[in-house]
Amino acid sequence: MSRPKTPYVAPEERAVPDLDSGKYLVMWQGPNHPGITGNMSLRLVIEGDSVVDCETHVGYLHRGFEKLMERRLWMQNFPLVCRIAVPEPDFNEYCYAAALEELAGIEVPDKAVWLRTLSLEMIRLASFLMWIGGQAGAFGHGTIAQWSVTMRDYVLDLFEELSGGRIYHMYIIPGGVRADVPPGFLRHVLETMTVVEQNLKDIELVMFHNAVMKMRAVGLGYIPPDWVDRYGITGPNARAAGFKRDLRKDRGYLAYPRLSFEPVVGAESDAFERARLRLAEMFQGIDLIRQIVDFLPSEGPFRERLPNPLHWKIPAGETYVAAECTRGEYGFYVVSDGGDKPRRVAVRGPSYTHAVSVMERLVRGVNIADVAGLMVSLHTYPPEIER
Amino acid sequence: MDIKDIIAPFAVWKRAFEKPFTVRKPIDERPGAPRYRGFHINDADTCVGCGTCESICMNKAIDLVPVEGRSPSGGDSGLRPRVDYGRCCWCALCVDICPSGSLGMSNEYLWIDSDPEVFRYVPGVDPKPWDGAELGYRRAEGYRLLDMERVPMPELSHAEGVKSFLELVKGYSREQAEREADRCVACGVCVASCPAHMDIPGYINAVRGGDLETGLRLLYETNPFPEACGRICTRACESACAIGSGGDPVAIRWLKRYIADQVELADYGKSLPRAESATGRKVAVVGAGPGGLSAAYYLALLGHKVTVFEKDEAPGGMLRYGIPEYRLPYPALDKDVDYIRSLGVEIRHGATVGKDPALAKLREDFDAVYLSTGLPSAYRLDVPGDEHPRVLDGVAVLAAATRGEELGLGRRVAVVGGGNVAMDAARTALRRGCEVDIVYRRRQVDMPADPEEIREAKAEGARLIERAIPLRVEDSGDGGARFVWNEAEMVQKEPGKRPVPEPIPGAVVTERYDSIIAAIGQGPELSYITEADGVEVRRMKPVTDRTGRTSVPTVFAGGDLVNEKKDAISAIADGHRAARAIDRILGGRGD
Amino acid sequence: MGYATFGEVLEFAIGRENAAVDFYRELSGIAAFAAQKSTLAEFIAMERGHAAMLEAMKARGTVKLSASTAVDLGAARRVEATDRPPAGMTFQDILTAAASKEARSFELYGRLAREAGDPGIRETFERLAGEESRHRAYFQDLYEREVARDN
Repeated sequence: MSRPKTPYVAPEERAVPDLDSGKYLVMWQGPNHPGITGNMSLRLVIEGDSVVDCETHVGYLHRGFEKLMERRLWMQNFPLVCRIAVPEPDFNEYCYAAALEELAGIEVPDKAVWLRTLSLEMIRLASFLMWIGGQAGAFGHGTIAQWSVTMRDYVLDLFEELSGGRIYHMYIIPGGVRADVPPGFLRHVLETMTVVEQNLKDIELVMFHNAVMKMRAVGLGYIPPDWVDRYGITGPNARAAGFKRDLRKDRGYLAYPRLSFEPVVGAESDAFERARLRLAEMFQGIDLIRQIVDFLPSEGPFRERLPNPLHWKIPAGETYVAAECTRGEYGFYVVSDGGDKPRRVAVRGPSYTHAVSVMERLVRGVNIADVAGLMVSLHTYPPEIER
Repeated sequence: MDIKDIIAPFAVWKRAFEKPFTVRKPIDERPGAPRYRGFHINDADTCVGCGTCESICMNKAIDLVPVEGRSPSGGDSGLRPRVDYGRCCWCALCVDICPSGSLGMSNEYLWIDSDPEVFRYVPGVDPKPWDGAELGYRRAEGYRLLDMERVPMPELSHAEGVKSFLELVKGYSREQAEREADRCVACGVCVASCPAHMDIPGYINAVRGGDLETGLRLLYETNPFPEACGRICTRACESACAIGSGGDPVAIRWLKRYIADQVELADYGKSLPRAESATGRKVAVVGAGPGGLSAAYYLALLGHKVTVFEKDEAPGGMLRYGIPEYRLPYPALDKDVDYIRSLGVEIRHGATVGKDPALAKLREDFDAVYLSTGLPSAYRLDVPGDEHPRVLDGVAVLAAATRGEELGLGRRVAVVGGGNVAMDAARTALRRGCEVDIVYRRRQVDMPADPEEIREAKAEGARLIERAIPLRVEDSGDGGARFVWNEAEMVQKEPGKRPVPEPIPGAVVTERYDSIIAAIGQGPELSYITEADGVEVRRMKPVTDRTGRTSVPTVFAGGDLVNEKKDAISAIADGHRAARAIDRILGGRGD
Repeated sequence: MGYATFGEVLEFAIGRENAAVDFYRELSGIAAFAAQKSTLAEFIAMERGHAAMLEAMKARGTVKLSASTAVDLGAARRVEATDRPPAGMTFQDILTAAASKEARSFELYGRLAREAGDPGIRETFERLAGEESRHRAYFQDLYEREVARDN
């Protein structure tokens, strides 16, 4: 495409607009705005229809999870952590459980490893399906959102069947998982994957071979590759800038070393490239789910017996466990002082970087109509910013 | 720009006429998945109200509340969980942890009401349309948050055990004790069921934390016989244990024993309270059994001078003379008694109250008297011929065994009765090389003995003859006795009551034995109370108020003599209660 | 042997209750210690109560007693009519004697009911038998709870 990349303004070169000059308009986008993907605000300074300055404002969604966890027993935090990133609860569950298991020296049964992997890949697909609807909607394609949210609901149906919950699955419990797959579940998974794959092909056709989408997304929100390490950009945002980084490969946790896949890498690093890359990851996710269904052991325990959760004490120590979520590196830093409650938990959500510092810098010079599309192209979830 | 980019978006039209995924409520039904975590259900009859659901709930959405028609009883707090859907997060940890398995969730997820109050209700008690729902979240097969299996206790094998009077139960190691203690959910249902209301969750917590000094202090708060009770307690607590509602109850008795075994007597003083300064008041205790010594201990702690009058040559009462040493070794009992003595309690042996000294003399010389004389004599078989010399008294046999006397039981022995005395007599006879038949009127399930003792007696080789109604004892002419009984069948004569053995006409059995040990029940010895003492006795029991006080204000009574349960822990509880009441009449605060 | 009138029947029954009072009194005379005496005193008071109740019924002319028979628990019934507990009698001895005595009354009234020609007299005996069976059950129950706990 011929359209130039959004001009890059280095932080130190940040222009300070003179608000008293009458040239500018201060406009708040959020905290309730579909383009924000959650409760968060952008304070935009506008000149004409271009953004000249932006400040990100968070604090609308602060629930103090990390502090709450210090007052709850190790096991009582299990139903709490899933709420930190609402659309992808399972990554919280996994990271928390894995951190505890590492500190307490617990080996998780193989079956639980596979079921955890299945659960994470299913939620990755569901989360991407919600994102793609938002991304298309931000550029004026409400129809695609209707399709993709339907597909996401089909995946949530699977979660309902597996775990008993649609949004908060609370399935990955320290020690393993809470239940084996119900009868007929794997067949339902495969059937659903066929439907979702077909729909994704339709979405690919109408969204990525689309003049409006291309005109608005190509070149929007260009992330220079040297930002990636400077800002700690991870996940598809980094891969679209040409970095072959994927924790599933790099850290090799759960059953990923036993699955065959290659991280998808892009080069253009703009909104369109990121969208295309995520679409490719969705197809890849469907393939991974099919592989997992093939590999899933039919026999064996799904949970290691743990001490009584009311008295469970974990030996003093600290650990950091990370997993590759849809947005990048999702991690839990957990400290135990040997007691029955965590001494400290810190959650590392990729949205913190992407939605606060990166967004502030990317948005300068962007047309206000594209701010929402840009925000969505970074794929951020404000709930995980405010733990 | 490609021409395809202009045309392709029109492909969206192909879906315009497809059936939507949305559900048209209320026209279409969309039931939750079979595992759906919907509204709570609770089988209120299975539920024991232990409140473990309340403990695990991270939202404090569950409160245990009293409900109509349920009152506390052994093993049931009488409370039921109330769920507040303003707080609940539907995580179902309450379902996962529920010891009895009574909690579940229906797959119902729609509930619309304009009154916010209704969303706080007691499942299983407040009727709801989803009560008894087949579908909905249940704990998965093979998944438990709690360990429902008891840590096995190392014991001598039956073949080994029956050869000697060595203690059978070896006791937990530290690792085993801590693992067993971990199973406790600290619900406290047991505390209410314990006659002495021991702080069971407290001392189990001390075991778990390795803090045995605190554990010992908690034991002695209500029970100065931890070594003995840690071995032979009737453990109503374990029957009440909430974990027992869905698995093996926590081995509360063994954990108590673990604490007492681990702390040396010399170190007891470090964790136990010292006696208060002397009050100058004197109390006499009649009977050095667990009840009398318990009263003595707590009275001594309160600063009173206690003298215990005991007819036998050693202290402990039935703990020593009624319970064989393979269940309660004498050194363990001595440890308990020695600690009580170390507080200045004087025990006068060979002093039979009534003969010397008289009760009247004690009332005169002491500020208060505690009667704890128990049930020392066995009742007769109550059949013709029961005065035959080969018909022995079970209590006397056990006492003779304690004294190390030759029992002269012969080869074949019948023990008549189904209580713990019968089992102890049978197992003592087995250890003396006899062939033992236990003859019981009803069935094994009706036996009042501890099921564990029945099982062990049988495993050690005793033959159990059930449904045998004794008819008479005849002389066999060769130094033995012929025992004649009638086989019986159990007849349910009144609904709701236990069935009655009814003789089968003609089914009479005669067996020759060298000895027949009668263990059908024991009675009190009350001849020491004279009319002049003025202690009111009704149906061979001194009449007492709740504190153990008799009709004479300075005379108290307790233990087997008075209470219904007739076990060591109830006697200990009576002793403690009476000690506090005595302290009050002697001018103390009674605590 | 026959009892012609309602009054005669009750007079006979009252006589038996009074005989029971005498029986316990006699036992009380040989009782060795206070606890035995107070237990027997309790039973005496009970029998006196029965006698008074029958007196009142005789005065009113109707018997207000249920004819249904209480369950025989089979315990404590070996003492023959002539047996007397020994001086050093235990609670067991006293209860056995009491239960046997009530059982004998029950059997006697039952027999008299069967022999009675007049339906009214028969009914009166049946009701008296029912009452005695309940007394028997009371002592048997006491025996099972207090004496033969392990049996």
